[in-house]
Amino acid sequence: MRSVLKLVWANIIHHKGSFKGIIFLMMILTFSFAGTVSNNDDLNAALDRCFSENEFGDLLIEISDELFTDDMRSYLESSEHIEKISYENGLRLLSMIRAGGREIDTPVYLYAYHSGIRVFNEKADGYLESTAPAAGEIYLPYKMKSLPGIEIGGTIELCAKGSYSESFTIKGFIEDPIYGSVIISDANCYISTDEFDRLASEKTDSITDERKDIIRQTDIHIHISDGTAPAELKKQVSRESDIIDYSFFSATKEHIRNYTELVSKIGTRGVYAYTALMIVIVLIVMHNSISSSIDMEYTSLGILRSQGFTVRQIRLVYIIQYIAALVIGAVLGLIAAIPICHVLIGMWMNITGILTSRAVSFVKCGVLCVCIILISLVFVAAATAKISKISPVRAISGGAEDVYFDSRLNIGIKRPLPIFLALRQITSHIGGYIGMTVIVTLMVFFVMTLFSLISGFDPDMIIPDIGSDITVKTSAVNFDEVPDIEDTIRGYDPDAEIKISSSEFMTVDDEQFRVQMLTDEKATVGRLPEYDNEILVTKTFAEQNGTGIGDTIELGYRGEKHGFIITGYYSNMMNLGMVLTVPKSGIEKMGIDSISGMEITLSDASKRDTIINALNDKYHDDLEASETPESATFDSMKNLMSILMDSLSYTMYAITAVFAIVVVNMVCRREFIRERSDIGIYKSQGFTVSALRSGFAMRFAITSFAGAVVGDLLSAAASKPLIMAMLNLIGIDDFTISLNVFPFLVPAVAAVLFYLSAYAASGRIRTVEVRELITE
Amino acid sequence: MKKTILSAKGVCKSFAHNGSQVHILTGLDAEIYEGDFTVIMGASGSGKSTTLYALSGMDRATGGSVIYNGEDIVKMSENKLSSLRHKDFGFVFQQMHLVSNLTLYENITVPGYLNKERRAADVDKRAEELMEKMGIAHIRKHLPSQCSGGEQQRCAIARAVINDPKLLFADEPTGALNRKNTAEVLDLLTDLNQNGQSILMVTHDVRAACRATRLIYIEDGRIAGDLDLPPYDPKDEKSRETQISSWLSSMQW
Repeated sequence: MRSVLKLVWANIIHHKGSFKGIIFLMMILTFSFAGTVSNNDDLNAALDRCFSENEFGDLLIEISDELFTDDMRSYLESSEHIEKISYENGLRLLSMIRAGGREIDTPVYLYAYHSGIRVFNEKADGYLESTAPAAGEIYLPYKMKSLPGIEIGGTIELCAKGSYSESFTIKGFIEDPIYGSVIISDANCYISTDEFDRLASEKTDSITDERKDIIRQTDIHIHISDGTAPAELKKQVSRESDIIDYSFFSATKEHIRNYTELVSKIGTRGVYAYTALMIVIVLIVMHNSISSSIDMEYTSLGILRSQGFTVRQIRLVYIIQYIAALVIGAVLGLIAAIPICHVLIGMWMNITGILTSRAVSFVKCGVLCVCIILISLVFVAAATAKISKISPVRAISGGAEDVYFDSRLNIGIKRPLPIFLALRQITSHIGGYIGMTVIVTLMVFFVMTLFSLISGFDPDMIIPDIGSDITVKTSAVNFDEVPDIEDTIRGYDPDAEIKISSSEFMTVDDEQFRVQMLTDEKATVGRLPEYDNEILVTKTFAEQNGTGIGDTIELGYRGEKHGFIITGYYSNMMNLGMVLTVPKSGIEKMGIDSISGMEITLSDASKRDTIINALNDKYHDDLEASETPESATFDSMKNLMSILMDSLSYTMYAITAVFAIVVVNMVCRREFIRERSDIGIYKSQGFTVSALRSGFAMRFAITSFAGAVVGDLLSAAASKPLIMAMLNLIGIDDFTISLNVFPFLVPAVAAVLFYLSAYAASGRIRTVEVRELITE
Repeated sequence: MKKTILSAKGVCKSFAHNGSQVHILTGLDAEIYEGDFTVIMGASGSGKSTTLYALSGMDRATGGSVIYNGEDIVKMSENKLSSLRHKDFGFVFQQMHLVSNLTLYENITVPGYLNKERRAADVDKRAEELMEKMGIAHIRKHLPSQCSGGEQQRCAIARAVINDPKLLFADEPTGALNRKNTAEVLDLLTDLNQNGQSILMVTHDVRAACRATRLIYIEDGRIAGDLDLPPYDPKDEKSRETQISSWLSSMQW
């Protein structure tokens, strides 16, 4: 063993094989996945802590106090699966809130402050000692901090009993594990117990009132006792009682967790795919490196065998050398991940609204590193198998396998020499360059997929752009009153485009889904629903529920149950794609006779204020019209998401570029050692250093061009399915990759970049002296 | 009166070895004449190969000057030296040093294509002629690894003369060959010389030295002896060999 270790050491100090390169690649690989794995773990741990501190149940049901009957309560309290039920009173605001004099279209729920609430400090990198808000003070979730007009000391106005009579001073920002993520529009806010009680007793409306600004609700946190899956319990509750049917919203803890982790999960999937790709590249590089090393060291290996080294021992030298490089790379990668995680995980906080520890998950990352090393071990062992074919006698007598072989791909050498000589180098050592081509193909495929995702992934997909001029919020306008409102609007602007929305949570097979009224949705497969028994679903819904076009599903809502035939699929990422769409007649059939809002797009925007005033004057008791707050409310959130996605993509582009440079450098170094003698011969024949470097770099340009073209084609074929697999997670089942000039530029750009990298890496050609050919 | 093609004055060559300087050439003066088949001989370690590489510009002398065509090649830029190598000088190595993934034909034509003053068609034609002359036309598509040492060396000679160099350098071109191949290669070089090719060759083989028209003996990095010989005639080989052996003995070889 000692002699094996001595050989390993000798190989390392004499730069035989790729030691430093493998260390570097493994380091990049490790810190790439360490950041993501750690972010996931830290976020999970933080959410667990939040849920635990707030005694969050396995199942949450939000229901109007008036609809929460004693029967429902006794059903829950007598369930053998339920260990504990805790109730929290809340106030559901149905009108928009105002900040800085502008409406904010964020559905707000008010709760009485309790000691479990965590309040962020100014930098949001820690918590303040939590103090109860005084009368007139309010805590908002952290995500609202980025909205215009929202700052500590600022004022929030709430609409109660038909007027903005309630105002609160913003005391601070809190951590909200339920609705804290920026991708959820709703917000849980906290006021003092006294204020809460006052509003609850004096300012709330009945669910049956025509005009409703605030209604009382109860949040029911159900803790399961016997290990029943929360989703199963939810179905059972839905089957055996009406509580789910009558609730505003119900969700398992996992469902809520998924919402908070949504964007993080998209990034995670991307990084996992990226990591897998990088592992393949590292394995290819290692294989080429070992293979070349064995070719070039044929005589030395033969001498070792003649001196009594067994094939196993020689293979062990390679295995130890490469595994040592991987281990060192992994350790350095984990160390490098410490500061990187601190920055990257900190960035996610702006999306999730949850403060995480920012620590590296050393155990999990370590296990992943061990897995990668084990895969590599198998690979190195396989790559060194050809050592067993080395004959000591042949090796020592100079009978080594020729480095090159006569290839049928060879074409004659002509002018311009650098191109033809480069082609000859490629064709006469095709194996090594195929590896290089595959590496470029994978890199280009990855970059193209990432580019397609980033360019096609508009934050509007997550936070849809309303794009209207006037938003009408209402809880008291029946369908039969809509024509009159439309007439009023068209009295000022005959060409105004009016979209009516109406949606409620309904049950399908005992599960709760949002069902909305058809407006301007487009069917991606099949057709739009036309009749009162037809429905449009997302592909995600269809797959999860085992249904398809032509199947009938039964919707349930507050006692009404009707069958609907699926006519087509569409894309909608609200509620993770669990959104169904029926025509107006279908909504009415389910017993819903009122709309929940209107979006008005004017042909003449100058009439906006006139129309807003007219609607608010005429229908004062029924609705509230205001300038569409979308841009004011969501732009900063979208901006945040764009910054994060851009940062993530640029980081990946940068890592890919570094990876490419390291790989080119490693391959160049190997080729340089292999061709050192040939380089001397070319020099002796009058080739200049720059011509030789140019020729050397040219083959990388040719290989990378070929690889990039294949990568482009692969991307055209496989990027969309891959992106869809990622986006299905969030309910997007339709994604358009827009073709532009970029895919056509990639091969040229790759060729130029690889040419320049290889040209730079070939600087050592200068060190080759013709006198090396002299035999004294 | 012979015309000087290459003139060396006070050429020195030293190497750093284990922290100390080893002086191989210590002020070598030499004139190489046009049309001569000059052979450099000397004991092992005398500096004959070093002399050849210093005079050909394959290695840079550490002192002195080597004048070719009015220019000192010791001070020439790398690019100018490269130009000199493919236009004016040809070189044959002891170990052939053919590019292993080029066929024999390509090994010969590539330096020809490098000379941009020549048309590719002319290079191809000249390569065909040379291969015929060297007896390797039938294996023109073979890689070096598929050829014998003699065939490889004949290819190396053809490569060296593809650009019709003014001066052909050869470093023990028969050193790695068997008797039969040695004779073939020497015949080729003699033939080239008798057709006007100036040659400067290093050898330690008396039979190879017989082909010379001028013999230079190097000792301790300097020229210790210089012998002019008549043009080679196979009929005089025995007497020529005796003459050279006797001269070498006088040089204490």
